[in-house]
Amino acid sequence: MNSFPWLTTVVVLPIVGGSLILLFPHKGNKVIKWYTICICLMDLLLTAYVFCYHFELDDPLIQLTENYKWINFFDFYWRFGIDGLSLGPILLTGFITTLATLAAQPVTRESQLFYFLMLAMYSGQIGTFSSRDILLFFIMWEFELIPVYLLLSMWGGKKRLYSATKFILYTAGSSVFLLLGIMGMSLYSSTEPTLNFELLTNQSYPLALEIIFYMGFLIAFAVKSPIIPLHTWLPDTHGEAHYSTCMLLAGILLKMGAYGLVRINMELLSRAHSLFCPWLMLLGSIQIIYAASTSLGQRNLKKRIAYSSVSHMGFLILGIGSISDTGLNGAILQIISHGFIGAALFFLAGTSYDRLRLLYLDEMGGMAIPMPKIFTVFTLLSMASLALPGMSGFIAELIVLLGIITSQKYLLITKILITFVTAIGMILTPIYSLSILRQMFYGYKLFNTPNSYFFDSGPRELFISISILIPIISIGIYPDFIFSFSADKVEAILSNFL
Amino acid sequence: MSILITTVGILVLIYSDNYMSHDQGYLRFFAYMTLFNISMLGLVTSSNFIQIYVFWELVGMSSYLLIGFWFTRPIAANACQKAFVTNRVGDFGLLLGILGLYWITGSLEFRDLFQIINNLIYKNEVNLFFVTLFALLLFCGAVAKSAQFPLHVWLPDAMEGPTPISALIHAATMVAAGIFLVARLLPLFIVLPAIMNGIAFIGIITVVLGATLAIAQKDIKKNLAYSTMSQLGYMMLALGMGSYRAALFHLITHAYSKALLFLGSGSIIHSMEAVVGYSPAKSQNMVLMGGLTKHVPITKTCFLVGTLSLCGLPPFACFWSKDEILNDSWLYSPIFAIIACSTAGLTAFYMFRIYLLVFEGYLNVHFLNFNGKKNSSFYSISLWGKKQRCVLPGPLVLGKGPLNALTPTPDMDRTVSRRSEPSSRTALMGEQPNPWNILQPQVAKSRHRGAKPSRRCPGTSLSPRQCPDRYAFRAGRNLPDKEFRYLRTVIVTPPFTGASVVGSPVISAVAPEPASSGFEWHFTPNHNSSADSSTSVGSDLHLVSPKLHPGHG
Repeated sequence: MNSFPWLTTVVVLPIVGGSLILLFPHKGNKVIKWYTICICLMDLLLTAYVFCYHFELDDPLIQLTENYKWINFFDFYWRFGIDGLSLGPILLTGFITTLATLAAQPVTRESQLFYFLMLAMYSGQIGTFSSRDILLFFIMWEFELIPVYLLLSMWGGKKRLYSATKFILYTAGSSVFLLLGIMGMSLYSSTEPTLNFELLTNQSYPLALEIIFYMGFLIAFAVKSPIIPLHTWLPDTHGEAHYSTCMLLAGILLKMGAYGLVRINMELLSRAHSLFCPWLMLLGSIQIIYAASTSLGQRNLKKRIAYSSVSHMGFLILGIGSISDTGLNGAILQIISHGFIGAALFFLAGTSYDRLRLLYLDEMGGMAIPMPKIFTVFTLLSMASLALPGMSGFIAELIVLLGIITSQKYLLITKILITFVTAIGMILTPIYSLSILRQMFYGYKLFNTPNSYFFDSGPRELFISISILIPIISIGIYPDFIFSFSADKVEAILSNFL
Repeated sequence: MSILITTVGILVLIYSDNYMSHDQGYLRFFAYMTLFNISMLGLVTSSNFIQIYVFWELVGMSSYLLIGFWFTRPIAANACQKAFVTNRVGDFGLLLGILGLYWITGSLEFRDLFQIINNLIYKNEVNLFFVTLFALLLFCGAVAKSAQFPLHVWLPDAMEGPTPISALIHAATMVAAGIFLVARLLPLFIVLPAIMNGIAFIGIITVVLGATLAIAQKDIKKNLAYSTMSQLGYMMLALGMGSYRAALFHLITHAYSKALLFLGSGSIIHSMEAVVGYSPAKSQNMVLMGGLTKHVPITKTCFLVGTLSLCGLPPFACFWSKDEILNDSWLYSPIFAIIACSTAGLTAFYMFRIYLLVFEGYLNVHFLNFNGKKNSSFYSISLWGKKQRCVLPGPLVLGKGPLNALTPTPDMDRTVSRRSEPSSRTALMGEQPNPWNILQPQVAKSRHRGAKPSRRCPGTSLSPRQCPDRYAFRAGRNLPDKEFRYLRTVIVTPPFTGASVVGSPVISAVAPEPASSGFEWHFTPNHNSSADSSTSVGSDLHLVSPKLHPGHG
């Protein structure tokens, strides 16, 4: 049964389905919309089916592997395979992309291209998460940038060209480091390039070289999963992009950086990682504070949410930096949880922007009365974002903190300091997220907008918000579900450090 | 403790059924309330730190939602955020303390944890500095939740919430959660004398600070809030002295007394709203009250009982608990005892200040009435248990009818035209101090925007002869939501009045006082038309209940 190339199907299906869109006659948007959603949904269901029936959770090894020789000349394989680490992000990708496609229904301008790009992005993201060949990883990584660039530059806001250029400069610039690292790693110590992850795991390098590789990968992933000071593309990009794109950016794209950090930096370069991780921890805790306090100063709603997601990604770095079982599990949970929360927040910000046509928070106010449903969902999500117990964010952050405390690597005083600084972030988070609520919804101010009547969210928007809320709350109540994916793999990774 | 929560909770739920019955967010209110009750019960029944923290946060969140219940009010919006953030500062300490103790002992269960800590300290195996630090951080959480000295700032602002909430959350249960936490962790604290002294010190500061601040308040609810703070200080003091039993005893007695006081003040506020307007700055202002004994005798009795109890008079509950605390404080430290005793005197002073300002003397409202209409507001208070006063002769005897006689059905937009019968006032409202189901005859005067002087009808024993054309009565049944209220208006139109006369003046009569709040009212033509349509028919009495959109025209 394993002979069937499930992963290839999952990866290729969206883009093949997407290229068929371009053949569609210009009959209207409706057909294309539903076609795209069907493709996404099929892929999601297919993924779920494969994971249910052909994947064994208690096996820390790579499963569902596929090996096809692609380019004979330098031993390049089309090589897929997943383990517990990539399981969660792949499901998240499917889920968020499906919802983002549903959220993108108001897009009417050149919808064929738009939906094609969404599907292409879907393929690229799943490909990144499931590739087992480091060059294939790189190709998928790059392949997914182009749709983002186009989506940003064609369907963005007023300053879209500026932010698209900034985005492509940052990410493409960082890709250079990624490519250099990959080349160096694969060409080291043999005439034949080794690109397979399995072989690379067992390879050992001189320490200096390992540190150089580590730096290269770190820069590449730091841009993607923004780590300060390389985060500046993110608020611009998120501020300008259409909200369905934002959902994908915040929900999945940022997680690719974190995934890469775990997958390559921790798994392949463990010695350098144990040298670097105190600095990562330091960076992470500074990032939590810095981004949270920057978020307070933003007037633009989307930028504020963008900074909040930068701040939440700090927990991820902390979890990765604390080389402990609990911490890393917490980081993986944070990947999933922030994927939901960030995407949902951007979605709500976008829908309320559609109604208000106001970007700045200080112009808004009193929206609770015309839009009670959005108000309710926004309140719930802000609570989730400020780590209210019972929501997924709380569990993730608590477990990361427990991981720091129980980590055996650090000195006591470092642990105390880092925990202390991180916990200050806990005070700052409600300040900015409740300020958003207060400025947008509370009060009675009349709008100075031309059309002063609003519609509450319709069934489609309500469906999207609720379907994101359900996993947030259910993970918050029963986080073991996510841990069961990753726990074995995490142990396997951490055994490198002992 | 769980008995306390359930009993106070159920009483407050019964009370708020009527208190909030005209609010748009009736359902939302009860959803929040039950959420709060769930998390509070979860808090008191949990046996480990994580569970405590989870419910601790949930309690904070439901408090946030309930303080911000009237979310159109900017003050409430600020207050709820302030409360949440201040509580979050405490949670920060609590979380760090939990993590630190977990690091030391490796356990989150209370029982194991206390044993391990005691063993460690006994064998001197642990750095005492760290244990003290973490215990201090844990205490931080209790300080924020129980509004102790450095983090007390949120409690007075939290009074922006509806009064039942103030009674349940900010007097009886949630603020006691901090005391409860300290009591639960007392086996941990008791081995650290420095922490115990610190707790007692914070307690005594809060006692004095709360009492002195309470003396200077004009707002009745804020006054009670500061009084709560002071009483919580007593409990903290008792805990710091190690008399665990006295603290919990005082917690329970105080919770009942203060809940009674708050519910009484809710009744007073409602009754004042009908007279002075709907702004909290007015209706909760004790300066404007006075002489309410005549009007709200049952509330007065309840309030008096609460006051006496809080002052610590012997037959009442708080006497026994406070006496125990004071007694223990003499054994602990004479200085603290002197302060605590003198503050008990202050307590009596400020509580009776409230009581006397509210219930004795004369009603001060009409001092504000400089338009020559001295009696109207005074007489307009219908009295519970007093004889029925005919407002209008003839068939239109509008008294304090049963609740539903003049209260429109939930679809308030509908214009109810009814001929009111001389009502048999069997409106038995039980213990709920909510007697203001009255018609407040407000002469069709408008204090703003172009009212004709002739529309003013002096005197209160109104009769059609005196006011020939029409009256607009504000049915002054409690309009609880200060901004989303439906104004029920009784417009009496004699048959000869045509529709043409009835346009804007009626509307302006419906309009509330301009200064009643910072809230802007927008009267758009559709209100006009609804009033028009209702009054154009030449019937004797119309009950017009235009649904006023809360500010969005």
